[in-house]
Order: sequence, then C-alpha cells, then structure tokens
Amino acid sequence: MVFYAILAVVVIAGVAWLFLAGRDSGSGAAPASVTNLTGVEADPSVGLALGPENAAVTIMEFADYSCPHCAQFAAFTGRLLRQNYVETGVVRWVLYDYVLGGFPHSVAASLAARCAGEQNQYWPMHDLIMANQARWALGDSPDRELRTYADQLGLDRGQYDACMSERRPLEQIAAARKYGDQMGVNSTPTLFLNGSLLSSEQSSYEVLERLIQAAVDSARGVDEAATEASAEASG
Amino acid sequence: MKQPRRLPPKPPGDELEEDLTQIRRRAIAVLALVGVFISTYLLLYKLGVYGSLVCGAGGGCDYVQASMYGRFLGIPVAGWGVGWYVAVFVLALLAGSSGLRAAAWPGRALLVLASGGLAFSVYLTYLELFVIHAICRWCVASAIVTTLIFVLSVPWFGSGPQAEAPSNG
Repeated sequence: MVFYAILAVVVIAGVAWLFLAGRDSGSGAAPASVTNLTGVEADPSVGLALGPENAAVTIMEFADYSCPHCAQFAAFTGRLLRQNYVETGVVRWVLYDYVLGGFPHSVAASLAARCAGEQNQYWPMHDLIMANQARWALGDSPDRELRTYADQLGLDRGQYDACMSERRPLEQIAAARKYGDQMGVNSTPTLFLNGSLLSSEQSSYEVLERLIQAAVDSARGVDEAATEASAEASG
Repeated sequence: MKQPRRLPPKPPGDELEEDLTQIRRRAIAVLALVGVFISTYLLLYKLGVYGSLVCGAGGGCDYVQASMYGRFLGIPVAGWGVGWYVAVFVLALLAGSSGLRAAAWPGRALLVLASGGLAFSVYLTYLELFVIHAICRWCVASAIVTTLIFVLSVPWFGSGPQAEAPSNG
C-alpha cells in the first residue's frame, strides 16, 4: 500500500511539475537548437550597427560574449575605435554574435544584449556584459547577474524577462553565427574591414587606425577620381 | 480427503533477503518514475512544447540540448531516456509481482538495462564535460538517478535462480 501511495505521489508531483513548467516557459516558442537552428539561414542584416550607413569604412566584428579576448578587445580597442572613429562618422561598426560553442553562457549573454536592444539599450548592455564577463561567465547561472545590468540600465524588467524567457532573439543569434561560418570565421574576435578579413595581428588599435586611414584615403581617392572623370565627361 | 500440502517455513535469512530484494525493486520503480518525468521534461523542451528550461535562458541546458549530441540515431536523447525509464519502471513492477517474484530473469534483465543506461549516462556526461563544455543540470539529475538504479541492480549480478515458486502439485 505504502509503495503505491509513493508512486501516486510521484506521479501527481511529476504531472503538476510538467504542467507548471509548461505554463511558465513561454510554451510553443521553443526553437530546437541554439547554434544550428533548423531553417535559419546566414543573414548579414542581423548585425548590430553603430555609425552612419554611408561611412567610408565598415568594420564587422564577430564576437562571443564569453570569450576573454573579446572582452579585452571591447574594453580597449573597441572602445577607442568607437570614440575616435564611429562617433565621428568615419567608421560603421557592425557586431555579430558568434557563439563559439565552448562556453556555457554565451547564448544567455547574447540574448541579454539583444533583449536590451529591444529597448534601444543594446550597446550599453553590450559594454556592461563585456566589462563584467568574469562575474557571469564563470558562474552556474548567469541570469541573475545579467538581470542586474538590465536594472542598471533602467530597462523595463517585464519586457526584458519576457524576451529572455521566450528567447526572442535566438534566431538572430543563430543567423549571425551562420553568417560568420559563411564568412570563414572560426575564432573570436574576428574583424573584417570593408569585407577583408583581418588577422589577429591586424586587430590592435594602432594597426586598425592605419588600416582605417588607408581605407579612408583610398575611398577619397576613388571619389576624387570619379569627380574628375565626371567633370571631364561633362566638359 | 486430501489435505493441502503445507510449505516448509523459509529460513529467516531467506525472508530477509526477499524483503530486501522487494525493497530494491520498489526503489528502482520509484526512481525510474522520477526519471520518466525528468526525461519527459527535457523531451518536451526538445520538441518545442516548452520555450525554456528552468536552468536558465540560454544556459548549459540549452547548450547541451542544442548540440549535435542532443540526438542519438535520429531520436532526441531525452526520448531514449523516456523509453529507457519506462522500460525499467515496467520491469521493476513486473519483477515485484507475485507471479514473477521468484523468477531470476526480471532481476537480470533489470541489471542488463541498468548497465546499458549507466554506460550511456557516462558517455553523455563525458560529452558534457569534455566535448560540449556545458553542464545541463537535468542531465546530471538523470545521470544520478540512472546510477542509483544501477547500484540497486548490482546484487542481481551473478545471482542464480531464486527459490522455486511453490508448487501445489
């Protein structure tokens, strides 16, 4: 009798748990995969951009939020480039999530950044996540820590939590990863300057500055040549 | 008038062993039932019925479930888990039923099933630790349940046929 009572208790508890879990999990919204979603194609448009669309130079960065080199890059080179070239309109910066697969919380961090992006706080959230990488990337569950950043930025918590639990930006993250694969990315951070893959040696601030200047000069040269050509044609 | 034949009383040691065996069968059944729910939870997530797992949005569970190792022979690993736990549950109940309590094969079958389950669990845990580099706490819970089931099944290793069922003939 006792045995069957225990079985009954387990069944009732189990069924109740499955029911409650279904109710709280944003049921029906689940994609089957994170980095390899069925039916998701590489999509260049899922990058998060800063700077004018017609900038002379476009730099694409593929980054994994958990990757230590990405955090270092974001803290120094990335920040300086944004201040000196993106905010001055010279460079358009496009960031793509490239979830490497070796870190357990990268997807959560990408989701958090993009969920903040729903409230126009992508870049501030990106900076907070990168700056505090050691606080969330090594823990058991990053959600609580990431949520404090959302609070620091004054995000609407209900909207943020709903976005996280429904994993709304997951397809974009998967599409960004596939785009990275298509571009030949296999490590992070990986940069492309006007479509050309840069080596890790070319990703230091000094070298990037020179490359940006060269690209600006080259674009200016092309513009001047085009202007001269059109002047000759019309004259 | 023919008197019904009385069975000789069992030695106290045999009775104790039978009681322990019955407790082990029942403990295995309860554990298997717990495993059925854990696996069903993961399977429902894998099938898209649930939007997220309790272990955190995009956390280790997501990663493990999303990895290429989330399926085995084209079927979600959690699906294999449900099937395996149901088989163990049914077998444990059958083994404890009055008709089969004295038979040796259900215990041995449980041991074979439990060994296979443990081996698969070890393989999955290896993948989590050294290949996927992510830990899914529900997978760990399932691995613990599987290990306990195996431990409870070990006494059937090398056990000969138990005392023959009493015959009325």
